[in-house]
This record gives sequence, structure tokens and C-alpha cells, in this order.
Amino acid sequence: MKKTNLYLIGNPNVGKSSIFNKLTGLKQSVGNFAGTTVEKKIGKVTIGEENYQIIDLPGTYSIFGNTEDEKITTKQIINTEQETDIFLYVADANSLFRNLLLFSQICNYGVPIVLIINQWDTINEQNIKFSVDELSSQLGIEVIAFSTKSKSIKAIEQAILNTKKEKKTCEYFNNLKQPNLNIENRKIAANYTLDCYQSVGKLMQNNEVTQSKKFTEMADKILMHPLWGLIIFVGVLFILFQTLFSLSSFPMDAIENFFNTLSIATSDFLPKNSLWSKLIIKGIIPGLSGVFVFTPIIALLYILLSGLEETGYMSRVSFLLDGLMRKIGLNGKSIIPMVGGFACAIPAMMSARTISNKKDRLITLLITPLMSCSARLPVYTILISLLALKSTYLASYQTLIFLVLYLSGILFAIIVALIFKSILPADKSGFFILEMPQYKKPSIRNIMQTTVNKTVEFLKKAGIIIFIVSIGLWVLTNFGPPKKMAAIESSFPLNNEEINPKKDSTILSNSYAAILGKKIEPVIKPIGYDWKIGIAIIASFAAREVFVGSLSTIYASQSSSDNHQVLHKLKNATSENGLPTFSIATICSLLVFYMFALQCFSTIAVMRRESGKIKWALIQFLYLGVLAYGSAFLVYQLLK
Amino acid sequence: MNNIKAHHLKKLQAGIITAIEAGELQLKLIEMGFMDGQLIKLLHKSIGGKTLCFEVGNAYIGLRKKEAALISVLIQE
Repeated sequence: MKKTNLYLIGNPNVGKSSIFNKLTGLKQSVGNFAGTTVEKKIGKVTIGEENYQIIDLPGTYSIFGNTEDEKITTKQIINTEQETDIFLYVADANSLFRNLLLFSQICNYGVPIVLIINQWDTINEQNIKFSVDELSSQLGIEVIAFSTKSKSIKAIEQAILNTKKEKKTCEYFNNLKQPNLNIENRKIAANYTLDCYQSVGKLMQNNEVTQSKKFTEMADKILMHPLWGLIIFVGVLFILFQTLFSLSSFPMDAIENFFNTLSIATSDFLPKNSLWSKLIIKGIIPGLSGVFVFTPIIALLYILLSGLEETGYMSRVSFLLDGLMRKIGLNGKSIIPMVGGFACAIPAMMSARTISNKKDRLITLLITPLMSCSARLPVYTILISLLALKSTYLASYQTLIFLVLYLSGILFAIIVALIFKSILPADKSGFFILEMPQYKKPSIRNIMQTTVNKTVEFLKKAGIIIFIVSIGLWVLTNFGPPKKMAAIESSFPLNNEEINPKKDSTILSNSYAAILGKKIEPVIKPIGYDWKIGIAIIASFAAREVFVGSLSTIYASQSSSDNHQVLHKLKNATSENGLPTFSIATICSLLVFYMFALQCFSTIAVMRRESGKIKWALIQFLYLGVLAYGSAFLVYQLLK
Repeated sequence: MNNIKAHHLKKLQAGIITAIEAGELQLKLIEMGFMDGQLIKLLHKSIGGKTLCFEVGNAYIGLRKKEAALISVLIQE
């Protein structure tokens, strides 16, 4: 027998994802809907003795949605197998009338359906003028009053079982004629929608909820005030980053110490001079440490950003800034991808799909990578620490420099947006219609689940790349032309007991990495880098977070002490003339280079997909490359 | 009683929707709850005042002046 699919469906922002998380726990995976780039969240749930597959459909207001995401949902409604599939329709209790429009349209297709009225806890009981049981008998289907705060999902599970057993479909809206989905005929679609509303209105006549919106109204008086709202938004961003850096330093130190101990323990345990132990101690462990150390800061960033989004605050910011954003060729809705870009450009660029004006959307896509994403954090952190600011003020200086880097990213995003605005042809199409949901207390469970998923995803992706790159780098830094290597081997007496730092350093400077690095040195010298930094930059071309691990692998090859901490190794690094490799000019040049350079293959792929043309991915890669090199050159030449 | 376009509403002024101009956005506006007979109230203006937040039904919806101009509203003088 075919497995039953459960489809979660409803308007945007009604809490489908929290219900999805509640039902599936951690048994979920992310893919794409066939033939599209729309993210498909699939989970598994066992009810009674049967296993179900549950799919979270993109939120939409009606079956006439015209974005790629909305069309997926409509397609699913039409193609549902009435014998086996069940729709779980999630409606927001605070806006039931509007929420039931899509519901009435789905019912028209005769599919088994359960109505879940979410946010039940947010409405004052005195204002509820109807009983759920009554509504259920009117509609002829299972209706559940639900709150994501409630621990039990038994009611939903029971409703699914009953619906499956009795194939419960809603016939209340059978008077509506199934529409022609051809959006071209807008008049017919508009009239059909009005008919749907009329039927919903009749149903809600005795059932409407009059809820109190006091909190939202009061909060909006300040948060949506043109002046106070703006000041608060800047404050929110500042607090966000301050929290990020102050809370993450302790676990980061702990992880660094762990890898340090691991490295020492491994080197005690493994034979000293074998090739394999060198690969593990000097290639893989430093490489992995370079990424794992930054897990706390990345996880925390996701916690803070998804928490902010869950409250409903971000759509207020979109509204408030719409006018300002339009002046620079963007859209109020661009603020969501831009803030999301602080975490990762990839999901951020996908969230630009809500922007209906093509030009606004393209410019948003083009500038999103200028927001300093979490993969840059490891690079920034290590470089700022290398600046060795006075320790008593280190914490606040660090935050300040971070703030400057983030703000410069934003400033350049504005400049670039203005340039593209004047170059690209105007597009008068598109519109700005944005719903501002009621404020909600973010669900900790939901945030934690998103964070765990995203962090694991980051570690998997970065971990694999770093593992491969570390091994590749280790090969490049430990091997060279056979004749030269043989000469080095013979000039150093064989000693199995100890690692000879001088020998290691001689091997490095004659290795394949050195040969390659010295070839590119003329290009990178004007911006202040030696060939070793050059190799680390090349190694991090696919993903910038690889930079720290690569530096640590490269410098581990010539490290004489047992101290495996990256920072220590880099601080002591000197160039051939004996001066410190990481001078202030070089560090600042690297900071601006990483601020701009598009060193992320995934972003390039997403840009191609989202803009629909490889041309834009290339333009983006090139303009960011020119900006990175040009500004690094200026900074280095001014400071050296 | 006076018929005006929604973008001419003053802050916190309310009225009854009498028509949505036919065209590309009519369907979208209806879906969001802007329909004849519904109460509409202007709640907030964005920085610069070109984007407006309306209360309609039980929802808060942001529209630009261009979109709001498609909505006719009956107000009490």
C-alpha cells in the first residue's frame, strides 16, 4: 500500500514550521521540489504503528500565487492523491477570516484535510465566540485548536488517524465552482476569490474571533515610528553583535584547548617521524580545529537571527526602511536577505524571492555577499587577534573593529546598489505588499532545531572541504621535486626521536607549494602577502573559512614548538628578511580582502540559479574580486 | 461622507473600502483582505512616508502609495 503523505499548508508566518518541528523532531531532511530550486523540508513521523512522510509546503495566500514557491503549493493541491494524501491546514487564530480563504479553495479540490487553528493561546478566551467542535461539525472535518507552546501533539495525531480512516473531506464550500487557474484571466480569478471570501464570511458569521492586539499595537507605536524605530533597529544590531562576541569567547577557548590537547596527545602516541603522523598532526588536526573552533559563534549567530525573525520584528524593519532602500535601488524586503547575509549568503539570497520587482531583486542578489557572513568570522577573529591590541581593552576594541568591518560591508553594499541602480534598465513591474504578523514569543525549541540543522550543515560542508584541502595542502607543503627533496634528506642526519624544525622549514621552502606560491608572489606582493599567505588564499577560494585552517596547516609545517594554537604560530611567523609576516599593514589588507572577495563556490552557484543567468554570477564574482584587490592594495600601500 | 484614495488617509484615520481598481494588483489586494465593505485604517508611515501600514480585517499590511492609490475609501468628513 502506498505510504500516506501529510502536507503542511497555510499562509506565510502562521507557524507551519514549528508544527513541522514538533511533529518530526529531528527526523527531517532538506531537499528540493522536483525541477525547482525551492527548498523542500521532509520529515518522518510515526503515528500508531504507521509511518508517514510529512512535507512542509511553501506558504501562500491563495491558489493564484505567482512566485516559484507559491506555484509549488498550488501544483501540489491539484495533483494530490485523494486516496492516500492528507492536508494539514494551519491557520492563524488571530486572522482566521483571511486565513480561511486558501482553506476554502483547497476544500474545493475534495482532498482529505485537517484544520489546525494555531496561536490559540494568543487570543483572549473571552473573545472566542465559537466552539471548535461546532466549527468541526459545520465543516465535517477534524478541527484542532492548537498552540505551539503546548507540549502534546496527540490531538493532531488523532485527527490524522481519524481523517485517514474516514477520508474526511470538507464539503462546506462545494457551492464554489472550481476555478480556472489561468492567472491571465484576472477578472475571473478576482471574482472567484470574492466568492470564496463570501462563503468564508458566512461560515465565520457566528464564529469570528475578536482578539486583543494591545501588545502589538503598543509595541508598533515605538518600533514602527520613523525615528525611534530606526534608532532601535541600529541598537538591536549592535546588541546582537555584542552578545555574539561576548558569549562565544568562552566555548571557543574550550574547543581550541581541546584540539590543542588532542594534538599533543596524538603526537605522543604516534611515531614521531612517520609521514602519516605528520599528516594527522600537522595537516588534519590543525585544519579541523580551524573550523570547529568557530562552531559556537556560528551557532549563536543563527540563534540570534532566527530568534529575531520569529518575533515578527523583521517585517516591521522591512516596512520602515522601504523608502530609504528605494532611494538606493533596493526594496524594503531587501533587508531580510541583507540581515540574513550576516549568517550565510546562500539562504539569504534565496529569501530574496519575495521581492517581486526584478531589478530590485537582482540588485539585492548582487550585494548580499557584501554582508559579512559567518564564514568570514573565523578569518576576522584570527586577524583581529593578531593585531594584538592592548589586552585590557581587547574585548571592546575587538567588537569595535568587527563593527567597522560589518558597517563597511553595508556601506559598500549601498554604494554598489546605487551604481547598479543607475546602470540597469528600470523595471516598473512588481509591487510591495507586506503583511506584518502579530508579535510572537519565539519558540526556543524551534530556534534550537533550526540552529542545530544549520550548524551541522555548515560543519559537514566546511568539514569535508577542509579535510580535503588540508590533505592537499599537506601534500603540497611536504613534497617537492624529488631531486631537491633527496638532497635535503641527505643533508640532515636521520634522527627518529625528534622533529627537526630546520629541516621542516627547508622542506617547506622547496616544496611544490613554495614553487606555486612564488609564481603568484608578484601579483600578491603589492597587497602585502608572501607566498604562504598566497597559498592559503588559493586554498580558500572554494570556501573562505578554509583560510584559517590552511594558514595553520602551512605554518604547522615549520613550527618548532609543541604549541599547536594557530594564533601562536602566526604571531611568531617571520618572512625571509626576518620581519614579522603579519604586520599591521598586511593584517588590515587581509581584512579588507576577505571583506569583499567572493570566495565561496556555493554563492556563485546560487547566484547563477537565482538570477537565471551565468552572466550575473560572473559579474558578481568579478566586481567583488576587483573591489577586494583594489582596496587591499590601497590599505597596504597606505599603512606599510 | 467623502470618497478618497487610501494613500490620502491621514494617520489613524479610518474608512470603508468602496472599490479596488481593476488591474494587475486587484487580485493580490483582495487576497490580502482589501475588499469592498471592509474597514481600513492607516496606522503607520515608513521613514520618508512613502510606504504605508494599514489595518484591514485583523491584519496589518504594508503598501506603497502607488498600491494604496488603487483602493477607494469612503470616509466621514
